Amino acid sequence: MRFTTLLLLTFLVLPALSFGTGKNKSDSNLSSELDTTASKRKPAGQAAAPRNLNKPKKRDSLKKASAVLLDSAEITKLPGFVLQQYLKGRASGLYIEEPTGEPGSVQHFFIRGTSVPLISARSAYETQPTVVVDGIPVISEDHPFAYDIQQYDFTRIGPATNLLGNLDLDNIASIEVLKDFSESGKYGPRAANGIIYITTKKPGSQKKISFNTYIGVATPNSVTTLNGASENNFRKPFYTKYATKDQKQSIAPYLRDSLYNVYYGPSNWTDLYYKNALQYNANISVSGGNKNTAFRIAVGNGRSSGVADGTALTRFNAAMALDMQPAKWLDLTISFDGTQLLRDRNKNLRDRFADVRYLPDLTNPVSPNKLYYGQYLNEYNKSFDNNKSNIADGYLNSKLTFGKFTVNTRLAVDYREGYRDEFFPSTLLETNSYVANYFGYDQRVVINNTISYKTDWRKTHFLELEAGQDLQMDTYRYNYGYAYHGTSDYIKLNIFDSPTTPTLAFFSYNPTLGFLNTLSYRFVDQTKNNLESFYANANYRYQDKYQFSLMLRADGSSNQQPTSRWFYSPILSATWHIKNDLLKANSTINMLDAKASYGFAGHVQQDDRFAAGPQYTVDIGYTNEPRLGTYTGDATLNRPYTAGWVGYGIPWAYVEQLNAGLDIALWKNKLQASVDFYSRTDHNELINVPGFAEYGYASAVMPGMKINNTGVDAEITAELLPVKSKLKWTSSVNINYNHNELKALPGGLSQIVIGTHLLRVGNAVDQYWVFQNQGIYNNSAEVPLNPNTGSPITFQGIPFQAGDPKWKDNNGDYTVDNNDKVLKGHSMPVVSGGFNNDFRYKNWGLAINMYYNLGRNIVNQDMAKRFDFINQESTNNINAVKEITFWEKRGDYGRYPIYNPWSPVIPYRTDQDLFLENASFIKMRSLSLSYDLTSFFARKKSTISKMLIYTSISNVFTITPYTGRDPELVDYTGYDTGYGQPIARTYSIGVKMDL
Amino acid sequence: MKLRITFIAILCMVSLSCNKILDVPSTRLVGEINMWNSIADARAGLMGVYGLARAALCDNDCYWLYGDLRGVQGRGGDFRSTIRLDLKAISENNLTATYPVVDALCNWRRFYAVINAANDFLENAPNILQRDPHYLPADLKLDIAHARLLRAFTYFYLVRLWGDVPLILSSHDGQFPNKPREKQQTILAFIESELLATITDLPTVYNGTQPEESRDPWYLGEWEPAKKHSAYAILAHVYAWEGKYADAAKCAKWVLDNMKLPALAIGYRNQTMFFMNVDQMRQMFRGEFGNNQYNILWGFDHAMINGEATNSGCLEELTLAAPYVIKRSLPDIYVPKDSVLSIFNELNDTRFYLDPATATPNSDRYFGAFDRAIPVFTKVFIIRDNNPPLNTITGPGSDGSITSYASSIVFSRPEDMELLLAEADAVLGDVANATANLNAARVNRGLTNYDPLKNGSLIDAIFTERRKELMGEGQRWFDLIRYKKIKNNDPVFNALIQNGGIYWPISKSLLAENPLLVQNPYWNK
Repeated sequence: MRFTTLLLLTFLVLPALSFGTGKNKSDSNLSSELDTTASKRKPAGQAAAPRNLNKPKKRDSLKKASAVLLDSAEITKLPGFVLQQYLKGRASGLYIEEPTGEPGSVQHFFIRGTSVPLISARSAYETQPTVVVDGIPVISEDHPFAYDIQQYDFTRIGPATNLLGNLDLDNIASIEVLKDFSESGKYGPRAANGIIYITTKKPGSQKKISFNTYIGVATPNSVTTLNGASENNFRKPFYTKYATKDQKQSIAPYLRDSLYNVYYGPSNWTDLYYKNALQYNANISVSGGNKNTAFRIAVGNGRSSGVADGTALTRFNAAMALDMQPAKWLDLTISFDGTQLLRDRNKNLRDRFADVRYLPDLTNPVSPNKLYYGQYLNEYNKSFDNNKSNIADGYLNSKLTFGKFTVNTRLAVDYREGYRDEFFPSTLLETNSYVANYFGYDQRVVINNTISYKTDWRKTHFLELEAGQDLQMDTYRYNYGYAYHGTSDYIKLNIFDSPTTPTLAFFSYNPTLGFLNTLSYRFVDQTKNNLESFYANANYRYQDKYQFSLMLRADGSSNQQPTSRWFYSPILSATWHIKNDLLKANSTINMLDAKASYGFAGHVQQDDRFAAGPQYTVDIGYTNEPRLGTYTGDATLNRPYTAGWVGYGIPWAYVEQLNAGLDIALWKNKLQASVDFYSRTDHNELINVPGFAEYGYASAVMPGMKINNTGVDAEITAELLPVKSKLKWTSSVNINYNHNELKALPGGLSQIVIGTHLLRVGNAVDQYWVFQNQGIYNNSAEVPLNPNTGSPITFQGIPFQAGDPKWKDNNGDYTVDNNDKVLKGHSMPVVSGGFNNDFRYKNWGLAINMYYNLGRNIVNQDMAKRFDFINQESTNNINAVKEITFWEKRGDYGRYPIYNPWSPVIPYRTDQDLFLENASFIKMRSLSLSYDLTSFFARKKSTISKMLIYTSISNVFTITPYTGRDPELVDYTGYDTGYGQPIARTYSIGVKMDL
Repeated sequence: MKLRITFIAILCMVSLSCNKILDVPSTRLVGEINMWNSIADARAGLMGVYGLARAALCDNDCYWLYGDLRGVQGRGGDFRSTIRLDLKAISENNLTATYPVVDALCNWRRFYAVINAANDFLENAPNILQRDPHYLPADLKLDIAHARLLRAFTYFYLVRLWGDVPLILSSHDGQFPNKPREKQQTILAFIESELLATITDLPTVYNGTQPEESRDPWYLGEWEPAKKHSAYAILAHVYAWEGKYADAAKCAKWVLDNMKLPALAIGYRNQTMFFMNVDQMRQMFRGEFGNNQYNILWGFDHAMINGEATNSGCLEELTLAAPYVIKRSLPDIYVPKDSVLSIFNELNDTRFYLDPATATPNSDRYFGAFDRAIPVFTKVFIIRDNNPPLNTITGPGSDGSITSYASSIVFSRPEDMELLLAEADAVLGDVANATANLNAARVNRGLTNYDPLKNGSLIDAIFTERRKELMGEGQRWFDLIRYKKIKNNDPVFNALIQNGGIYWPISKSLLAENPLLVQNPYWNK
């Protein structure tokens, strides 16, 4: 603790110190060292030498080994408001989900497949790459430890806002995706899942004002709406075919009366739900300085609105960077970036009920009629759901140069806090009001020191040595409270900050302060972890032909057990510049590099419970009441029966990655291609192995899971028209093929079942475990009989009857059970990438941006739910909640057989291939037309040095065999829940201008 | 120069940190070495066992699904499912159906969590004696009695639900060898000996007067900790289950004879037990001081005053509905009207009877909304309300708007012991005593004395009375098994008893995880 305080003090004091000395020094520079410093300064835009230090070194080759470089010119043409949207389909091997068009919601990255089975929100978190902004590994997602107090992991408590939403793309100079360890090894364990490296725009000493803005409108697609009559018609065949007398009489109450206008009236709810939505962003930046100092200040404001349900994300951003060279031997950089994100969230009932932890009677859904839906919305509007995130990043970097030695020190702080205040009036929740307040923060402090030495011998042997130390300290915390049944809907106090009615009032029957203590619940939780690293790197180059580098690292994590706190790993890489070595005379080949790297990176555990070994915790909750922690008001402690046994001797999980590739440029660089083969194996991963029930445990956490991702990344860019042509056509395609395979499970197990997932060694971890549907038993005569017993084939002991699905009995034992399920399909794409074409004619530009996924499957759960209406409506279950979108026709009902929905075999279960569909797609993500006015203003000798106007359409069309909606609207689980809001077509115009 | 020094200072500071900075103790859990060091750890550990036992019985409301809903071919629980197909499967003995709730009920893990926690406590709590001088040998002795009682009770539940089950008596931390199922007789013998042992160590009351008490008010709170009566009550059920009715009679009689010990009346809370009227009995479910909580011989509570009222895990979640609570139009389970009328067919029953003159019920103490097609079972009705808890509950007490339930699981109460004693005496041929106890119970509910012409055989009459009195208290299915064993005249049920059909199937996942387990023969298809 004292240490942290010291560091913070240093952080506060140091800038002041350096400002002071810096200024004095630069004054003296002015008089005495004018010539030398002036000649040393670089032109505007490239002045930020210090910041490049912590970025992987640029190689001699044109392209990076396995990185994709997006420059700012390219960035501006891409659709989207947040980083993920920009990067989608842009880099081979980087797959980005966008499971909903709701602005500001969390979007996951996956670099080169998944390293864990994607079973829960926690697992998705674990497989996220690290986003590094100017050398600071930032916190890109809230820590999942809050899920411990949640029954459902639909969304995390708190604002659950995309924490990368703070990045205004107008402030970004370039984005690189670092996949292999030769590039990212410097980040050690943080590179285990890959690195997305972002470089912001640098201060420039020449005065420059940039103004970038766009405005657009997203338009909803038209949808076919349903009402009670259409739903009743849909259900009719089931009732005629299978219903008993009782069942016929017990049809859903809301469908009983065909004169009931609430459900049988016109279905025009879409007028209130889908709306055109405004998009805009504006960013203005000023840079300038003198010989010794350079600055850039940018402010931005933007808003992205969703077409559905009034959702939006609003961003206010300010960024400041300052470069100083107070002495010849010293470079200082100070950077600060502050952002506020405000999020208007959806009104999904499911998510709100999950927040409220209270299920009202679900018998009657929301009305599809505008009048009644509008009345409901009016009540809803009396509630509030305020989501605010404040994000601040800052760092101080100093670079000292002493001859061939360079010493670099960096202190960085990343702080992300979220607020959420929720209130629902009593009119919405059966006369119960509800209030909830959340405040949470994620804080990271990074201290990084490097010393490097650079030398050469007769310009033939080049040697670069670097040693570094890196300390990262993370703290995650939240305060959360909720309460029910306030005395009045006008009392909306923050139940965490203000005292609620004391317990005494429970007796005195006089709850004067609003919320009873007995109906108020408060939670505070905090987790910390530190990561410390030491590394040494040697880089040797022989002329411009061969290059070798070796990195040795030691990484220690506080989330590892004391006996195995440190992980030691080497990373080896080599590049052979074949062109320079053998093909110097060849004029066709402009570049040919072969490169290979092999190395290891530790994989840090995200949860601090693994470091403790065998432990005690609070675990007396049960299925629908996970929050209970006391017995008769007394604290309880017991073994972690639900979360799983944790033993001693948990080693570091680590990633082993081999990468081999070829970069080539032909015909005066008109064709550039880069191909990388990779094999990435995650070793010693922890997994909850189910079992040990007779000792009370649901599972035991065991190391030893091994997952391999092997594949190819390729990128080809070609100028397709002759050099002399006035029309330029640049076409580029990127492609990733990935093969995922589970290589081993702990304890030599060959398979384990986790919920609805089967993990089997030799198969991919993203496969679906399903029954094979082969039609329907039309009558009881079609049900095969077991020749040994004479009794019909059963579904886990229940005999099949007429109207039941025919599921394949693979092992022929006349019982269809889990042993007959097969692994099919993939929830992650096997092949994915993008295809882009740029046309340029004089000042005109046309860009077409395509995105595709192949070999991905999804389960149409939304459809399964509609067919399984009997079970859905007979339980008061959160998954049976009908949203307003229940009244929207999605998919093709005719594809599915009419089974007996009352059958105890649950014919429309989702774990069968009936609902598993090919979800490959190709999408035109954007089409944009631009006109460059720079030359026009140049002729006019205007102060405007650069100006570009453009117009674009994004999300133009999708081609897919999937019969549901947009196949992109499905998250890592692969189940189309129907909750994804559409990614709407957007028309926008924009202007970019430099003064 | 100043600058250079500053930078070097930073470098030095950072390199000093090294290993120490990687020791970040978790604030979210208690590591093994920090547990079992103090009296507070002992308390938290023991309360953990209690909490896990409650969780085991509350999970998916299984206490009632096992006891009051399960049925087979028209025999069994009086409750029926309204629309839930999973509950329908349970009431129709379709226990291999793939509904999540049914599968959860086939899984015994949560019962073994209680056993593991108890084993862990028994292994580790003795170490606290050396580590914390505040923890006295008397504390340990009493705590151990609690843990053993909880473990024995849990094994009794396991045996009643699955027959033969693995017998595991140590926590096996870190190594969890698979164990096969042990003969039911072995386990029952173990349960008997354990309960007999705890009887000596448990006090009759917690008020500072008993030699077994380690301290006052260690066990005094808004709940009922295990006492001698608890051990005897469980033991009476164990013996009855085994058909050892002589022993069962002894235990039940002990409870009845010791309800009004003078020591119980000492202290600021009079803990004397008594036979309750229906209103007092309904209050009892609140499980709080002033609500006849001391009549709960053995049970688990959800006292609102402790902030443990819940949305799930209480009978009300299954049975309450409009007009009593706004939340739901229909209850999940209900007793059909014709069942109600055939079971409660005697006049002046203070629980329920239909006034022949007006054809209306006498009260809504047991069944409400009787004018509707689906009546609401209102006997257990402890929901959040704005009334002070000290008020009597004669009907629905609140607007029913927020359904936070707070009723206790009541495993045994004086009326249960009274009728169990009658049952034992009847089986043993002591008709006089059996009739006397039955009559006492009947008269207490406003009925006339037992009349063989009207009420059938003595055994039948006793079980009918149990059925009425203990409806919705998780007893019916187990009563039925005893009844059928005594009568031995139902071939269908005899077959079930023979081939293990009275038990639950073992969950598929348990069978897959532990290859030494063998499915109950009845379910092995």
